[in-house]
Parts: sequence; structure tokens; C-alpha cells
Amino acid sequence: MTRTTRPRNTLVAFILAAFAAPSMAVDFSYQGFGTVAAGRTLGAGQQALVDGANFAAYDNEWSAATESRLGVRARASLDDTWSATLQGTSYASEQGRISVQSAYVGYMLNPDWELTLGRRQNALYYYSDFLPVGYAYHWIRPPTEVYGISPFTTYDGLGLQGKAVLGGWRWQLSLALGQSSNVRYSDDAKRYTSRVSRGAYDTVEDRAEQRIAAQLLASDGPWTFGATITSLDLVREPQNPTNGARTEEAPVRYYGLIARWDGRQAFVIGEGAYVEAVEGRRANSIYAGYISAGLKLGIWTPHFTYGAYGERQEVSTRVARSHSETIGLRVELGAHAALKMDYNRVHPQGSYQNAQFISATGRRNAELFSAALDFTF
Amino acid sequence: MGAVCLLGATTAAVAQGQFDAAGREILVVVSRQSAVQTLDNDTVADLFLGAISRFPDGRGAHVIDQSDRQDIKRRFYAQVADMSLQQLRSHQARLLFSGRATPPRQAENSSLVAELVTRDPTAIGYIEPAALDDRLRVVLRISP
Repeated sequence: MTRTTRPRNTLVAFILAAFAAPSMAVDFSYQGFGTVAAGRTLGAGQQALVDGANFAAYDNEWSAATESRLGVRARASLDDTWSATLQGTSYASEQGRISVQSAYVGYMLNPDWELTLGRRQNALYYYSDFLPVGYAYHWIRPPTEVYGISPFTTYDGLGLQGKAVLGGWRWQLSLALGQSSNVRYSDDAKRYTSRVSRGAYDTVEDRAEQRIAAQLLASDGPWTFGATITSLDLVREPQNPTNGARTEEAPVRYYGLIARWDGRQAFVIGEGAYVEAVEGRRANSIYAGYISAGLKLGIWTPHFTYGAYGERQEVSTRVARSHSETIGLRVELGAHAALKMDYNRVHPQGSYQNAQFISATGRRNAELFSAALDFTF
Repeated sequence: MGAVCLLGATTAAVAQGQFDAAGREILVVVSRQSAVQTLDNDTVADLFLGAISRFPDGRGAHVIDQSDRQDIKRRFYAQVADMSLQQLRSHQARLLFSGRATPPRQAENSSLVAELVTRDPTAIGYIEPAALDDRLRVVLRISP
């Protein structure tokens, strides 16, 4: 799954020291989450890439390793102002290798504003900064049209998060400044290219330099509206230059809009994303979005989602489009677990396929059935 | 005579209903040492859902929740935030694992909440009427 470079050693040492400080009055807590998921495509020869950033794909045979994971978050509070946080997730598809999603020191400027230094999860879209925690949303995975675009899930650097009440609305602001890295190792590329027919990927390291990001959310009662913007310089560096691939650099901007209504017995959420990039000699733009609605019937949450994706290469004017439908059911099991079943149907269109996106071999529709048990502890 | 008996029974039933309602009332409390006098429903909901971290006077608030095993917790979030416990847990998972907020400290029952709130002038909790004592101030009454 996501490989990111290790956080700076001194920062890690500081955080570990915070967790290990026996002489100080440290308030230590930990929480965890997990997903046991299995799925398969329903048509012979179909492959479905469910996470373009992490090369997680299903094919026509049942797989329980593609999306199953286990994560732990530990927090040490030294007092009301200083804290240290570590979060790691082990993915079944990686034979237990741990991906560090959070490793930061936090300083509360006041009860509403926190400054952080270290690694945090991206707040690229609404679900981005808690994406591995399936229990926190109604699908098995948020729509890949929007959440499969970015190769980065974390950043290393400075973060500022705050909240305020203004004009009767509750506002949340997240600002981030730093860099990201995502190395796609050769074993990922082998697995990916063997499972998804369009095997154009080689082992590469994607780096986001001079990354600046902001997310603003406003909520009042059941309503939440939000906007995000992320600007970065993307550097894509092949790890095997002998095949002639060159390092490419391009400025990329991500824009997102969020609208959510969460009532007692029903909910609707929609997100739109627009990405503009200049990638080497090609200029790309991506537009994607989804709308999802569901009912809350006691422990049962049936839901439906329509998603759409479009990508345009400005130079060649080639266009890739697709849309998808997802029908799903979430069932609460006890206090901290939920069983989910999702059926996805994706319809690729256009003159070429986008391998970052859930897709089928050729231009045929892809159908995916998956089930998951999500839990927290 | 029959009419008198019927009236008496009705009065007793109404009185019993009022007694039950009072017993099922939820009291949102702070310490007597706190400067907070009253709070409205929305402010209490925002504090317990992590949307805000301060009392209206600007002082930081330490929220004390109750154990999932207590029925008062289900009633509290249903009435204050129109939210089921399942919705609450998903909401708290989102806040926790995104690092936006830490979940409130939990006490096992109303008596322990009362004890913790009494000791901390910045604390706020909710309790059953039976756990109320004169070291606490009721800032919001939530009727069933």
C-alpha cells in the first residue's frame, strides 16, 4: 500500500521519548481500527483497481488481502499543550509492512488551535485524513473517482488546525506546509501489472515538493460545506532508469468542494474535484465527483452512490471518461463494528483508459462485489 | 364516589408520570466553582461533539462523557444532538483518527461524572438527577 519516506529521525526520537518518559506525568492513550475485506470482480477477465494511489486491485478471484488492514493510533499528552501522536497501519497486501500515517508533535496554541510538526494525513478531500478507518464512513471505500486521484496520503511538515464559531456556523480550518513522498516498489509494480492489463507503470518515486494545502469546513446542524486546495510540485522519478524513463516535474493543483447533509434518518453527501497538472510535455486536467445518499434505519444503512470521472490530455486532446454506480449496505454489529457489502459497476468510456482509476480490461464494464467488517477498539 | 375515585386515580397517574419524567431528566452540570451559569442546547451539543473546545466565556472546557453501557448516554445524544450511538461512534472515529479532536474522557456512571466535575472547575458532564449534589451547578435541564 502507501509507502512514504520515513519521518526525520530526530522527530521520531522525540516522539518515542515522549511515549517513553516514565518520570513525567504523561497521559497515554491508544485506539485502533481494522478492516477485514474480501472481494472479486464478477466478470471473467475483469480487474478493478480500487485504490490507484496504492495499487490495490481485485480480479476475478476472491481476495481478502487487497484491502484488509489493521491500524493503531497512540497519543501521549505531556500536559494541556504538548502531545505526541503515532499512527501506523499494517496492510495484508504488504505482508504486514507498516505504513506510518502520523508521527507528529502537537502544541496547543489555545484550546481551539493546534500547531503540529511531523507527518500527518492529507486533508485533500473530506475523507482523506482518516481514509484507512473504514468504520468512519458508510462505504467499504470512498468513491475512487475522487479518492484515487492523488498518489499521496500523507505529508511531512508543519500543520495548523483550528476551529471557531462565527455567524452561527462551526468552522474548521486545516493548513499544511511541507512535502510528501510515495515510493512504488518493484513488488507492487509486478503485482499491479500482473493484475491490471494496462501495465504501463514502472517502479517510481512520486514526490510532492513545496506542498501547500488548506481545507475549510463549515457546519450548522445537519449541514456541512467545505472547500480544499492543495498546491504542490510533483516530481516523478523512475527507480529503474535503464528503461529510458526520465524524471518528470510538474506543478499540480487540487481543488475540492464538499456538501453534506446528515439528518437523523437519511444523509446526502457530494464532492467535486478538479485537478490541473502540467506533466512533462503533457498538460492534463481531471474532473471528478460523486453524490451519495442513504437511509438510517436503525442498524441498517442502505446507500447509493453515483460517481463520474473525466481526464483530458490537452496536447493530444485525448479524453478518458467513466461513471459508476455503487449500491451498498452497512449493518451495525454491536458497539464498535459494522458489516458492509458494496456492489460497484463501472462504465469506462473515451479514447483511452486511465489506470489510476477503477477500470475494466479494455472498455468493458467492470462489476465488483466486496464485503468488509470494519471495527474500532 | 366513582367520579372521585376516577379523579384520584387520574391525578395519581399524572403525578407518577411527572415523577418518572423528572427521574429521566438529564442534567448538564459544571462545578459550583465554575463561572458558567447556563448553556443552551446547541452549545452543549457542540462541546460534546468536539465542534468547540471552550465555554462561551472563552475558558477551555474539559468534557466528561459517560460509558457506552449507560442508557443515559444514548438518551443524551439523541436529545441534545439528534444522534444515535452508532452515528456518534462514526463521528468520533472521524475526529480521532484524523487528529482533529480527542474523544472526551469517559466516566462509568453519573456518580463518577459528578465526582470528576466537582474536582475540576473547567469540567462539564451530564448526570441523572439522583447524582446531583450542592457542589454542582445545573447549566441545562434536558427533559424527556
